[in-house]
Amino acid sequence: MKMFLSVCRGEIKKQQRNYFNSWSTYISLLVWPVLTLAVSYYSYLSFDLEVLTKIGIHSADDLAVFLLTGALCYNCFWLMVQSAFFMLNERENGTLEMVFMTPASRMGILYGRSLGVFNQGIWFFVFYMVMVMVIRGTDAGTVTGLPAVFVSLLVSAVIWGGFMNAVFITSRDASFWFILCDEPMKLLSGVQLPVTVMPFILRALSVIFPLTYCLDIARSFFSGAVPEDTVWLKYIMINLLLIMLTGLILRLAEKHNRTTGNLQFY
Amino acid sequence: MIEATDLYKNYLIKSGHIWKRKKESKEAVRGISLAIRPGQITGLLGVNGAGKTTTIKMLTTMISPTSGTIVIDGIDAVTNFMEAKKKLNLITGGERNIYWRLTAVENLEYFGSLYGMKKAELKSRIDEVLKIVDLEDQKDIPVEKYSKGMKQRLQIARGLINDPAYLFMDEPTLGLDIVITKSIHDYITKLAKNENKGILITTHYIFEAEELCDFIYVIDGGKIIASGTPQEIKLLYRPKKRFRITAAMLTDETVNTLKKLNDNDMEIIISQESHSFEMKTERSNVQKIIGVLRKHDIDISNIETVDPTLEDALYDMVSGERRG
Repeated sequence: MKMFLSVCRGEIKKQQRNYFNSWSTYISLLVWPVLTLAVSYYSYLSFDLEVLTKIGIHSADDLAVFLLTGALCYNCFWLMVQSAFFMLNERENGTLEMVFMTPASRMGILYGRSLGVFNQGIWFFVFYMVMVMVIRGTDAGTVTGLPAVFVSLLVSAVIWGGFMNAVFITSRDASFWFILCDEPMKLLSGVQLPVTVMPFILRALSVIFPLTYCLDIARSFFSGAVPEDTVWLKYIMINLLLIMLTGLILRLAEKHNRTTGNLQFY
Repeated sequence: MIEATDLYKNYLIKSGHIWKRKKESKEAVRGISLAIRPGQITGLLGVNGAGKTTTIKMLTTMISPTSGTIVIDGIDAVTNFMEAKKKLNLITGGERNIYWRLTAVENLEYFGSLYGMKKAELKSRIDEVLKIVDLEDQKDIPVEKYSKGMKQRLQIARGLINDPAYLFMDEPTLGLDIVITKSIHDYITKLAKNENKGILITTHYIFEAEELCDFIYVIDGGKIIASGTPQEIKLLYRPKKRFRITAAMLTDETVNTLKKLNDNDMEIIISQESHSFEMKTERSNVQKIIGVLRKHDIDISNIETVDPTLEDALYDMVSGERRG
């Protein structure tokens, strides 16, 4: 455990120093998601909002909160996919090989990388929460739900990041995950469109993304309700499954790389 | 001590396009056995593709051998590789393997954290290794602003951060100028002699091996073809004597005639600029050269015998091995 924590601390510091060391990085992290959010919002507004009442959206404010929650959760998850994508650079620069040369806790490396990137997610979180509170007001439901939304999002996004990092260790050609985790994850998890309105096959696919459950939890809190127990149960199950899969992929990847020498391919 | 016994490594090479993939097994290392002792610099020499890097990767636990054993101070490094990693580190030549946007201290803090080092312990170790490689004054500058030599010195510092008992150096002076190379040689010698580190070095520069190594393994085609001290290897192979002949400027005709003399027993390297040429041959052949020069009225101002170097011995050894 001491080794795990030491490695996590080292990774968090390194990620920040190496990738998030300028104001322009922070600003760009915000500008693109805000533009995307604005496009979605005004696209919806060009239609009759009446049809959205059956999914619990009764006003333009409800719609804004729905989309803001989607954007917040999605961007935190997307940051994790990007952190895994950095792995490709590290493979080429030879630093990944040096990291695996050490006896560092492998899970510590993966989760440290995710946590290092999630620090930037706090920037998103504060921004989006201020926006939600401006729209919703600081009523008890919104404010008391914030810590739960933050913790559930942090835990799930970091676990997702660890999983993605493990996948990127397996192969240099894992970039298709990068593509898979952009639009498909956005669509299937219900970032801009509720999962409930999707056809059965898409709803079935949505269960594999932990983002689906984070959105369910956040939207419940922001609508003044408490998430159902089954949502929490699914949330816990999918995250436990991802931790186990991460450990398994990591073990197999290191074994495979030790046999093939693939970690050294530049 | 590190003892590697009967190491083999086969790689599966895939070729062809996606629908018609061919798989072929390639033996990169074939039955290598070697030892690395504390306080000693061991050289692993060979031409490109000889199996040096594969051997070093196996010894550093980066890849697993197909068969064979590696024991590091009593630890089985093939099965218990995470434990063995604590005793090792690897330094490679070139400018990779460090984070360029980080400073020297930040790089070392990061790599130290991967060994689970405590904050105070890490801080004093960083000061120590920066002193060894003379980077104390540049420790807070991002690596991207460093010269090639400074980056290489930082690589050495990174390799020392966990105070490893054994250090592997894969062409540590690759592409460096003679001044920096000399200073890196001094660090390497200091590490072995003063700090009792067991060092294995691979290099293409034979002079480097001759200057640094206490013991040398020569590897070719994945096998060790010779081993011993640099002196023993030179004696073992008794390369042909070299003669340096200094003469007046050679004409094209003389050069052509000399080249015609060039057969398997004789090798002539002509350096027109310095009015000299060197030949590797038996003493009796010198007479033939002198005969040609006299016939072309070329004045000979000096003939001297050049002692065979380790490079001569290795060249003869590898080319002899390949001829079978």
